[in-house]
Amino acid sequence: MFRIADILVILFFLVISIVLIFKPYGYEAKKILLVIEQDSFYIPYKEGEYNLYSKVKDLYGKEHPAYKSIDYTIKDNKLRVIHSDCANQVCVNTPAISKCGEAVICAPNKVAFIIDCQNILKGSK
Amino acid sequence: MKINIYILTGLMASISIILGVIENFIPSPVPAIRLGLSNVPILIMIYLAGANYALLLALLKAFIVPIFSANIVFKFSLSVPATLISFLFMYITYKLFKNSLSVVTISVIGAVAHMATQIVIVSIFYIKGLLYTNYTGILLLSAVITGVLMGIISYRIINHRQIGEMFARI
Repeated sequence: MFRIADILVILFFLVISIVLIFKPYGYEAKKILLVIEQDSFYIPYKEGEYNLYSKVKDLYGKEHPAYKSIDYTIKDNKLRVIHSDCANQVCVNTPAISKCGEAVICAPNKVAFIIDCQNILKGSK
Repeated sequence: MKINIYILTGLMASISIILGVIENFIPSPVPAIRLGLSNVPILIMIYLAGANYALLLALLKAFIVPIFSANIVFKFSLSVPATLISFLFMYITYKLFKNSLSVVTISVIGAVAHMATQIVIVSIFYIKGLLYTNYTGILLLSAVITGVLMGIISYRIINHRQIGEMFARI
């Protein structure tokens, strides 16, 4: 079933995947990069339980009513989305994240929490 | 005898669509990871029936499976391009390297192409920062693993004597 060429091709894809998983995603202090549709914001990485809508409104004065229902918590240095009223509950079902480059992504609702340690927004400007 | 191959294509498309819908209900440790069961009939058709019928099956699967999901527009935007590009990669690899690569590797190439297309679409239209996360690597790794599993299943079916004879008769 397997020939040498097969093993080489599969190994090539495995190596690329593993490099992408374990490559360092920056060395700066952790920040939460919140992506909401066309907007991106930085939120401090501090312990506590927050409502996404209130947090963004407090920090930036911007209102995204669609995300009033999203609550997240940072406990023991781990971020987890604890409540969302969307249909799929992808973000709620994602395990807690804590390392640079990890993310909680809900693509259908265009929301993502990314732990950023490399100033993605600064780098993209 | 041409009518038979169309009946068989329809049957295979039905199997692919049913598997595509069922796998939405199979839980996975990371959201967005799918087994890719519906790719097995496409691979079988590429090997045993030819590109035209496999493409027909891929198109039917790409357009019908999203209808049975919760986010039709989102799933359409991922399913149609991902399935077509995955088919294209599998077919080109099959045509060029069928003597040196096995069905398992062609399945892996299809799975990786499918996942890579979805990652690119999501990072362009939905989540801009996706490429800056290790999620991309996790999804690609899952594609390699599921590609190997589905490739082994396809290999067993393609090399089954009675199935081979059935396609040969048509």
